[in-house]
Amino acid sequence: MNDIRFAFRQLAKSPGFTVVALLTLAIGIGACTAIFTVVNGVLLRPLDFPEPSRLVRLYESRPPEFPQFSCSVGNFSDWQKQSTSFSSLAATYYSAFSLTGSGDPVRLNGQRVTTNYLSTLGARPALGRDFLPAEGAEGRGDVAILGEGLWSEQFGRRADIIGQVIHLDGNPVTIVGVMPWEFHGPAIMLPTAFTADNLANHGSHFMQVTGRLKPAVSVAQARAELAAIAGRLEKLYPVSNLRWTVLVKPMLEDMVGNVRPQLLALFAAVGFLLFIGCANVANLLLVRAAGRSREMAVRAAVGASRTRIVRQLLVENIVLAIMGGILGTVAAYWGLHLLLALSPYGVPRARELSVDRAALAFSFGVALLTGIGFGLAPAFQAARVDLNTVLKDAGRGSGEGRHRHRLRNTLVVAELTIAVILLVGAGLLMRSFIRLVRINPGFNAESAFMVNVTLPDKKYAKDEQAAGFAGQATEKLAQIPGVTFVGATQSMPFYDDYVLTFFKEGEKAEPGREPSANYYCVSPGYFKAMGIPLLKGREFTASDSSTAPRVAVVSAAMARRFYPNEDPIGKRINVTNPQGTWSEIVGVVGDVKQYGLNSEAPAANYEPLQQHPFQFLTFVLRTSGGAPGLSAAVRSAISSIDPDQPIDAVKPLTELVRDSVSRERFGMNLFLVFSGAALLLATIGIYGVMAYSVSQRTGEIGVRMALGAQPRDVLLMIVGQGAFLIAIGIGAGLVGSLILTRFMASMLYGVGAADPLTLAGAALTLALAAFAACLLSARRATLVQPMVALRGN
Amino acid sequence: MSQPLLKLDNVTKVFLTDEVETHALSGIHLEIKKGEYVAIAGPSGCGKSTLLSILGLLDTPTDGTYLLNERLVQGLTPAERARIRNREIGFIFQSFNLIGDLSVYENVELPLTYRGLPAADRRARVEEALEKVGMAHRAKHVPSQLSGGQQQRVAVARALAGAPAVLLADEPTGNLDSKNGDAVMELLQSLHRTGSTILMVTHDTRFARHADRTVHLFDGRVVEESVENKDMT
Ligand SMILES: Nc1ncnc2c1ncn2[C@@H]1O[C@H](COP(=O)(O)OP(=O)(O)O)[C@@H](O)[C@H]1O
Ligand SMILES: [Mg+2]
Repeated sequence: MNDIRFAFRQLAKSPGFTVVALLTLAIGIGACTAIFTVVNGVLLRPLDFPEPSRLVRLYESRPPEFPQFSCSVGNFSDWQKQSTSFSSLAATYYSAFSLTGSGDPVRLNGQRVTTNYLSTLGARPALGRDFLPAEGAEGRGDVAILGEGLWSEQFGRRADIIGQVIHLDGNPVTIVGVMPWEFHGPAIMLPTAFTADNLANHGSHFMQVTGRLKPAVSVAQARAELAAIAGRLEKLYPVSNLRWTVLVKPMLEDMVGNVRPQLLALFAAVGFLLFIGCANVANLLLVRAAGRSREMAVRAAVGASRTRIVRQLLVENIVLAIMGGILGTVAAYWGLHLLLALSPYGVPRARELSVDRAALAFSFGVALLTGIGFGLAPAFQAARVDLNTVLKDAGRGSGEGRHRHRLRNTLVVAELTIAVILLVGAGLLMRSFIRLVRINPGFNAESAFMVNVTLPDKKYAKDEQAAGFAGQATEKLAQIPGVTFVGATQSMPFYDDYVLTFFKEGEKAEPGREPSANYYCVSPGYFKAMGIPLLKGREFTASDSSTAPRVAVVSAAMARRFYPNEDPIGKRINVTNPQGTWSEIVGVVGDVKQYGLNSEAPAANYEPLQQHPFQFLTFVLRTSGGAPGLSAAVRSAISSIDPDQPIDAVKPLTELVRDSVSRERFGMNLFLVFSGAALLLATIGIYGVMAYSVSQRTGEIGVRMALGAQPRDVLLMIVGQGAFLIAIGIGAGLVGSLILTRFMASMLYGVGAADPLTLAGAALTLALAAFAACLLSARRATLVQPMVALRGN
Repeated sequence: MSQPLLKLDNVTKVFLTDEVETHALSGIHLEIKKGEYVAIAGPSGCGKSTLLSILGLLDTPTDGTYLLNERLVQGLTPAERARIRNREIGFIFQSFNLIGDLSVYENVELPLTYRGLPAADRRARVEEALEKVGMAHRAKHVPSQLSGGQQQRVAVARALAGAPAVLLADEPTGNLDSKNGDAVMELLQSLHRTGSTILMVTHDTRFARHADRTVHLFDGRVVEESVENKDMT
């Protein structure tokens, strides 16, 4: 008890040391915990299902065009019947519904699921019940399970929602369950019923398949079995199944596989930051121990046993660590908020993030161990020290052991080294990000907006109905003040995709090896609305109607790849659509990066929407510099055509582009936080060492000044000492960066891992911060009064 | 009669710590001529070191005037004061104050380095100074390898090397045994004989006898001046 009270008194007696130590602990523990929380919550732990290692995703594959593709109903059903590896296999597919009955119609992004979907995952509704097998029978589809979001937004989280009837696309549907929010599922799920026609179709790929392996079955076994089944199906259905194989991927790998390098980089960064924090704490304790060797000697001289002295120091360190831990916890909460604020569009599942206790305990534990470790060694040393040598007046500047001096310098150099590496990492991601967002997507996102409309099957079953709606809607939307061009498409870049095989006239493709390209059905105004340039020929016009000759426009990439030495204009292609008619190519337009900024623009075929109508449409509106009240105007334009027709939110295309790089932005922000914390800690570290050195050298500095040293001489001496450490640290950091950042290569775009500008920038940033810290200590040195030379120590 | 080298007129020094005023010096008049060897004696705490620090431009008086070489040194900037310390004053401290990380040679060279002398010049002067104190053979040693007496001789060499106008010594024998103390006193006497002006603080009247005259301080005031029975010119 006495020890604890004394510990507090000691800490209060040297507020500088205490504040810096607590700050270091708070930043170290806080930043590491916050970052770990985000990494863990967002990327590492995506599966909240029982026995997640048994969950797999199944894809169909026909390389090279379709390396990983959706599954067909026919194949899914055959897998289900023939395989023995799975305790259950479930399928889902996207389906939009319009919810009517209370005010404006609402468009719901839903899913059709096989009735065993939730049980395959091991998920259960929070309210109500799962689907019953009978509800998947043909002609049913009259029950639904709500997502938590929709339950909150549309139904006020009412518990009596179970058993209520709502209207989807005009059909009555009974709600039987509500999913918990941890499920992160779609707005609404309805059971799917496969018709005989569906089951016979092996060629339309549109379903996601999830399987749960039997307990003793490995992924490899399942792969082998499905490969055999796929081989049999290929013989049975040579047209639709030629060269199609099955991919079986563990679900976790399927979800986070491509972020593995990012994860590794982040973990390395967490480790590095924790190291810097601990090095700082260690250094501070070493400094403090050195400064108190006299106190220890006096204690020993008056009869304190070594264990007594060690215990005292231990208590002090633990008190310090606990206070630091408390501040670190506060900092972790604050840091988490900061991280989330930095990535408003980038963090999925942000809502469920809360400071990870395990991470907090881990960082705290490491800090505590460092405190004890680095606190004890000097304590033992001090307790063992030769009383005489300490109490005797030692010569100027030769006060303490050289090796402790060296250990401190080494720790600071290591901190600087690591800070450089983190800064280089952050710099590379930043440069790469800037490059990325400067890439031209092939369309002009500025001042353009999009809105999705999905027409219900029943009401718009006929092509003329859908085409009529699209035509009317483009006209109405074009009348909105401020809107300059309106276009419609069934497939939107950066949003969804639609790939179809096609035939070139006069060329025979081997069955199963037909070329494929992205396929867009667009209205005449689409290219202008999107800002996609016309390179050759003409765009579509109103006269390219359903009765007019079929025409097509191709992208530059399409022209390059499939008409390398000829003019595509006037040539004919046949896209495998129901009509199966030949279309004459009348124009060539610029390439669009369908799959994001950091992707190759694919070959693309465009055909007039009026000749090939679709029920799911995206309207693109180009405005003359923003349009206030656009959402409301769009809503009323659509409802003037069909008052029951819901629409999605009106979304700026800039947001679409921005969202497409959210992962990159998130990674960059994390690294910025890391490197910022590292910079801060390393600067504190070098300041601590320099300030301590100055305080130890006060006598020597006084003597030098008595002998006529100018303030400038003293300044240069101290700064020189610091500059030496900084130079070594930065040099080592640059070498370390060259070695380590190579592992980041896959996260970078348009900038090499050894980018000289980034390396120079990181070195300069750290040099300036560290140098400022040195200068601060050096300035204190110049304020030493030469008088101290006359006084004893 | 020639002008004094150092001249204090009505010098007062008051320290303020925790709202307690300490009158370390009150109304000091003191003149020291070129070539003189003056001892300042008095009990511990009477203000000897304070007087020396003012004379050595390590500190400034609270009141009164100080003429060094007929130049008023009040109101000089810290840089100008450093320059004067470097050229005109040589310090010898009780605890030697050699810099532990530097060799004997480098310690002696230090004031010359601060003066900006070229290396060859410095070498000649350092060697000469070390020769004078009989420490030339230890030039490459570091202070911790020397005895106390040897360290103090190196400190004297350091004070001499810059050929200052006056040597200020604060209890130079205080940390030495009597044998080593005597050797250092002999060294100072021989320097005095070759023309150095020396001002030495001591509380040991035995050593004060080596000086031409002794100024006795008590409670911050000069209480007595005694002249040794030597030839005065
Ligand atoms: N920096 C200071 N602050 C406060 N008091 C001081 C300071 N330096 C000296 N003193 C006081 O001034 C008086 C004279 O001190 P000093 O000149 O060191 O005496 P001496 O050298 O004769 O032993 C003493 O009372 C001492 O406590
Ligand atoms: Mg004294």
